[in-house]
Amino acid sequence: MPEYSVIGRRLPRVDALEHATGAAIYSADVVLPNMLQENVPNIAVLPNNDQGLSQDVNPEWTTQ
Amino acid sequence: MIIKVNGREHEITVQPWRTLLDFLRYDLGLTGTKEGCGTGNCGSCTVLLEGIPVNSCLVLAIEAEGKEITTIEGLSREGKLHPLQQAFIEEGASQCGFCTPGMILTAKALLDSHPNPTVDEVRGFIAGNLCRCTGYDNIVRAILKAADQ
Repeated sequence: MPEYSVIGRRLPRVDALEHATGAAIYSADVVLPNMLQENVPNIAVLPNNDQGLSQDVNPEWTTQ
Repeated sequence: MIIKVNGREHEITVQPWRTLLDFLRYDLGLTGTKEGCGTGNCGSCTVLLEGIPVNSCLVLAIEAEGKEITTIEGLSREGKLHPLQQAFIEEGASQCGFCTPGMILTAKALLDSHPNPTVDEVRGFIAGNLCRCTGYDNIVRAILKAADQ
């Protein structure tokens, strides 16, 4: 069988080091100048009266 | 309040509703901790709180007052990889890599308490860390390899 330089060899993944150290950058990790960030609530708390949103609402996203 | 992250103390002021995850990612810029679901299902945001793996999306930053947090950035010391990180690289235990930081920290907590786990113990312990690429075999192999060292 001929000797191949790549086929049949164990090669490390090119991005394995970044993955294992947490250094890999995903789109959610990018921060650009003047970029706005928003918390998206997982649970919508609907107004239960005419006073508007109930007190259970996370204040962080009522002000955004 | 005082919070200790990866061996370094920070004196911080934080909103009472800020999650530990958002605090780590957006206040400290430690983006190695990932946000997957934000509801405690996926384990991507796992960090060690006093050595115990927690979903940092379900922990408020103020709950960590005076406590020691370890994130993936704190695992390698002076450029030297932790044996788990080395094993994950050697075994190709990451595909997209999004679950990897949480997976490695959960595995560290396991090996710290059970240095020689069985395959079933490893699989059971990482049950809270989902890998959507489904690369579990390589992950389990990497954890067992690190346990051998």
